[in-house]
Amino acid sequence: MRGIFCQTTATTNEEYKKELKSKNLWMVLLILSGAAIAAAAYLADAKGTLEIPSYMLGVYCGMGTGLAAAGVILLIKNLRLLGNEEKLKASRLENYDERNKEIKGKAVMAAVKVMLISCLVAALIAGIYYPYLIKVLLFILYVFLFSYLIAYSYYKRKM
Amino acid sequence: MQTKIAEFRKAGKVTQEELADAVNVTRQTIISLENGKYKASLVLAHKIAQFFGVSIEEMFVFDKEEENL
Repeated sequence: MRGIFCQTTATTNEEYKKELKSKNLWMVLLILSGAAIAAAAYLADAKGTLEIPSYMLGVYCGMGTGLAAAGVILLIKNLRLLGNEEKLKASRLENYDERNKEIKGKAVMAAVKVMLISCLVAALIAGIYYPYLIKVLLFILYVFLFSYLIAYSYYKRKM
Repeated sequence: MQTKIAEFRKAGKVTQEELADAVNVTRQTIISLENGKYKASLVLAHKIAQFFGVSIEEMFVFDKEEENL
């Protein structure tokens, strides 16, 4: 996931500090979103305003808690980096380094291929038993292809 | 792609860490470049060549056969 979310264009520690500070705002938003998801699911179930199956309640609470926990961990990590010039530099180089960017890009490409094939196979096989599933998985594939086409045409014009 | 980074670095008594810091990459990238496992971008090639005060052609060995030319 670092390949997707952690790349930087900062060439100095000062630029990288600014990037990390703005990322910290996103981390706070992530924490609040996670807490809101978990709290909403829990409250809806507790007050009986919405009948949520216990399995889905667990999913919502787990997802919310997971997002909030990830946000807290990343926020602490960023704050520690901001207070240590040596670690800040190491982190900047790690995320700026062109070889690392290429490795991350290739890893993302491989993961995308595996995900697409898995989605297609799952849709074809599981669709026999759960017809609704094929619609969901194919919808995900269409979203992916559509977003790819938009991103491709955007970068084609830009480069 | 073969490079002469290691030769220039040793001649100038520059460590991999110092070169990496000067051109804004990790030490592992310098190692990969020296081993010929990774091809530098044009920008990085310029930075390395400029660091040693030589041209790109002097620093990087362009093998036509390797590139199928």
